[in-house]
Parts: sequence; C-alpha cells; structure tokens
Amino acid sequence: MSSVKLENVKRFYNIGKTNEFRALKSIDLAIDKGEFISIIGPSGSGKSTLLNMIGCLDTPTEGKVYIEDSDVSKLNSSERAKIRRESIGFVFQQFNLIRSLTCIENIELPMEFAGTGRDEMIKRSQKLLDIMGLGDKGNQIPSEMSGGEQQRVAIARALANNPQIILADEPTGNLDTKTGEKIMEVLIDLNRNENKTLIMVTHDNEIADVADRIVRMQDGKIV
Amino acid sequence: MLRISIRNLLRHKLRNALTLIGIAVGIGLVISLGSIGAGLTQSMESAFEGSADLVSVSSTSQDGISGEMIEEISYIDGVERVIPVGSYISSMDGGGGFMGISVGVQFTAVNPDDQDYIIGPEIFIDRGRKLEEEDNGKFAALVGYKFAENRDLEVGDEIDYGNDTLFEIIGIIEETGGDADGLVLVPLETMQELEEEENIQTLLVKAEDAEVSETVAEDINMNIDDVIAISYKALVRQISEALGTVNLAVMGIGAVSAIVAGLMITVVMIMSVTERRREIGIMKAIGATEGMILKQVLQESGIIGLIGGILGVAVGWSGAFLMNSLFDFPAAVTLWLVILGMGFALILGMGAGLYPAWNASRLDPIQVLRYE
Repeated sequence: MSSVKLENVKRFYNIGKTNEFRALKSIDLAIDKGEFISIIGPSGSGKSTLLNMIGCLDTPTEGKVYIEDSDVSKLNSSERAKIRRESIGFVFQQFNLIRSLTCIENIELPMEFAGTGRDEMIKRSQKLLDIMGLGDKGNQIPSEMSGGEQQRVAIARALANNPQIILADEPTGNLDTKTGEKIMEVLIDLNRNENKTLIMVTHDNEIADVADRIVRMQDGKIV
Repeated sequence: MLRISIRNLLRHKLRNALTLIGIAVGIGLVISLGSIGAGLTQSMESAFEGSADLVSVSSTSQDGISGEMIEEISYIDGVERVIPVGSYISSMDGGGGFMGISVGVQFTAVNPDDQDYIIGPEIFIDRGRKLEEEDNGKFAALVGYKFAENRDLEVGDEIDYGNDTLFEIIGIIEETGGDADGLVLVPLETMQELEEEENIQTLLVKAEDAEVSETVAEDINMNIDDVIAISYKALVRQISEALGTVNLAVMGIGAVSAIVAGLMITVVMIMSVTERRREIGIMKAIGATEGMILKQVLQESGIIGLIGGILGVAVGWSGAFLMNSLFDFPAAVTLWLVILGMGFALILGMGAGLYPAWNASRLDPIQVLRYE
C-alpha cells in the first residue's frame, strides 16, 4: 500500500502566455507507508511545488495525485482542507505558529477544525506537549520560546489529528546545528516508531542522507 | 474559534473601541429617536385608555342630530348609552387668536348625568361642586383648572356667554394635565333653550364593551343618515399608524449614522484581515476550510456589532432618560426598540464583515506562506 502516489503530474503556470512557467514536468513518484524520503534540489527546481502537491495545497494541471490510495487531484477546496487536517501534518521552516495563541491553543487548532470534543482536545494536546518535552510550557506564547521549542510545538500541532503523513519543509533551516539535530531526532523517531510516512524537503545533503531514499529535483523533473 | 476571535479583537483595542463608539452612537440615536415616538404613542394610548368603549358621532348636515335620531341610535345592538354633547362658541376671548380674529371660548353642553364621560371618570372637583340634575335650565358652569387660573376666576364668579348672558361658576375641576383643564361645562337643556335649537352637532355613544365599539360605529354609519361615527379605538389606531410612519422616518436618520459606523467596521476588518494574511494562510494550510475562515471573520465583526449594540442601548436609554428628566418629554424605550437596536447592530456588524471575510477565505496559503 502506498502512502502517496503521483502519476504523470504536471503543474504549469500562466498557460499559453509568454511567461508560461512549467514548475513540474511529468512527475511519477510512489512513496510507501512508513517510508522516509528527502527531496533535494536547487531553488526553483520544483521541490516546493512538489511538496504543495503532496500536501493538497495545490492541484495538478495534469496527472493524478493519490493520498492513501484515494485520488485527490479533482477535489474541491473544502475536501482538500479535510485531507490536510486528517491525513497530513505540516512542519514549516518558519514554524508558522499563530502568534496570538498559546502553545496549547496552537496544538488544539487542527483538532478544533476537525470538530474534536473539548475534553479530548485538552487531553491530547497536553499529551503531545509532554511527548515533546514541553509539558510545563503550554500557556506560553510562541514569542516567549526558543526556535527549537517553537518547532517542537509545530511538530506537536502537526500530530494533533494523528495523520499518517508528515510533510516537513526545511524543518531545521532556521535552527542552529545542535537544535536542528534534536528536531531531526524527533522526526526520525516518529517515522521509525510510529510508522509515519515522512517527506522532507531540504538543501542539506547531510540531513538528506538520513532518509531511506533521496529524490533529486532539477528543472521540474526527478533526476 | 470564539477564543481566537476575542483574542484578535483585543489585539487592537483602540481601533476597535473607536469603532464600537461609532456603532453605539448610531444605535443610540435610533433608540432615542424611536423612544420619542414610542412615548407619544404610549401617552396617547393611556389618555384614551378609559375610553375604548366610546364612539364619537358627528352630524354631517346643518340640521344636526335630532331627538329621534338619538333614539334610533340607542336601539342599535351593543349601544349602552347615548350622550348628547353640544358645542357652542361664546363671545368670550379664548386667546390664541388666528390672524387677528379672536376665537371665542367653547362651551360644552351635556346633561349633568353625563358629565363624567366628558371630564373623565377618575377626575375630582378642586373647589365647589359638579353639575347636578337641578342645574338643567339654570346658568351654571363647571370649569377646568387652567381656564379658571388664567382668568383669575373663583367659584361664584360669572362668565359671559354673549349678549349679557352670564353663567355662574359652581365648581372648578382639579388639574388633569389634559383637555379637561380648559373645559367650560354647562347644562345641555340651558343651552338648547338659550339657542332655541333642540338638535345638537355631536354625540358620544358608549358601547356595552370595547370589543363591540367598532361594530357599533359601523352600524351607526350604515343605519343613520347624515352622521359619521368613529370609535375611539379606531381613532387611536389611525393616529398610532400615522405616528408610526413619522417615527420610522425619524429613526431612519439614526439608522444612516449607524450604517456609516458599519462601514467603519468594514474598514477595520479589512485592516485586520490584511495584517493577518499569514495567519489565515497557516490556518488554511493546517486544515481550515474557506467556510471556517469566513465564520471566524464574521464572528469578529459580529462581536463588534453586538457589543456596539449593547452600548447603543445604554446610550439610547440615557438619551430617553434625559428627555424625560430635563424636558419632561414622555420618551419610552420599549422592549421592541431594544430588540430592534440590537438586531440592527448585529446585522450591521455581520454585513460589514462580509466582504473582508470573503476576501480572507479566498486567500491562497501557498502565495501567503511563500511571499510573506
């Protein structure tokens, strides 16, 4: 059973105009459940577009995208939002926490979108916070925390609805090496022990090498 | 979600507070202006309260209403009592003349038995006595409080009807604040003999109860020629309707200022959504639908509207209170006005949020997260 499958996926912008841009040119890619892959390539090579495609933030101009064996390439925006909150957890380079909400409220957010009950939500977000080693920092707001702590909160938020797939876009890009290593440990632990599919975009070859498989992108193609 | 809305609103306290003041003033104006109309309607209704069972009958011909007509009317179903009311203009200066022509004081003539229907059932005598059956044929007058006070008249003084016909004041009615204060009430038989005219111009008809008064008026109009009958109930209703229309127009003025304040909400929400583009993008990326974002923004503008409405009710109530205490004007804030004000504020808030909310919901997370 594949976790993610792309069949002949193309993504073109400004079709038919002089500034037509082909971000993805015929991508075929199958990622197994529990696999850890890293996507590398120079900027502009299409790796972010690929990640957005897998993350149901974007739809292909042509081709098919399957998430957990169901075709998501023709879904409308609210159906894609449902896939994003149930099957996928996002971890961003900029952490992207909501500044006005406390740690625990940030973690609760995806559950609130999913309509989880209040008690269940409080229990689960505290548990995730404990797992991330931030059990006593639930009521702090992001700006009071270090970068590493913020990224842990972001990972906890990504796990809120217990998704099968974790998408990480340069998760260590804004952290010092030592903190970056710790964040990688957390992500790898989720992959190995929780059998989460981990898809990570990075430009750091050393970090990429930890993955089961490396996908190299260039000019909108996998090379 | 509600927590996030409240948190967002608290982020810009000054900006939102100013918007709230705008809404509060607008809604307050609607309610204060509305309270004027509501007060007028209420005081009119209470003035007619004891009279709901009365029907006024006026002659439409020079001949007036004859004794036979009165008898016919008294046989109509539902009629309890017929009260003839004569109106005569004296040569006394009534003051408040029009274009140099002074208007004479009106003498109202009734049978002494019927006098309470004219002055009101709960009204007492300040000095002297009321009219009595024996006064019929005599030149006796019961006068209103203001009428006596303005002319320095006392019980025992005489007033001139004209041609040296003098009426002796036998009593002065207590002050009522209403029509009775200017009344000159004389015995009907005296006036009929004096004017050598049996027929009179108007009647009051008392129905058995208020329920049938409008039917009684209809029956009189259908069966008796040369008269027009209207129940006090219908009269109050017609005046209320006219007042309501005027009132609505006046409240419209207040509504315009509230709508301007509503545009302020739109501007504030556009600012707020623009500042939060990234946040909204994040929320969509982690699974919020367009509908959820729409709801979030509408909730925020709705809260501004609702709080503005609550403050507006307070402002409007204060306005009405000031009118009451400073100008002695009967302004009344009714429940209906409060519901109207609050509802208007809420709809205004939500309506003002529609465009910013729609804009926010359409944000593309890829764009927002990449460039900002």
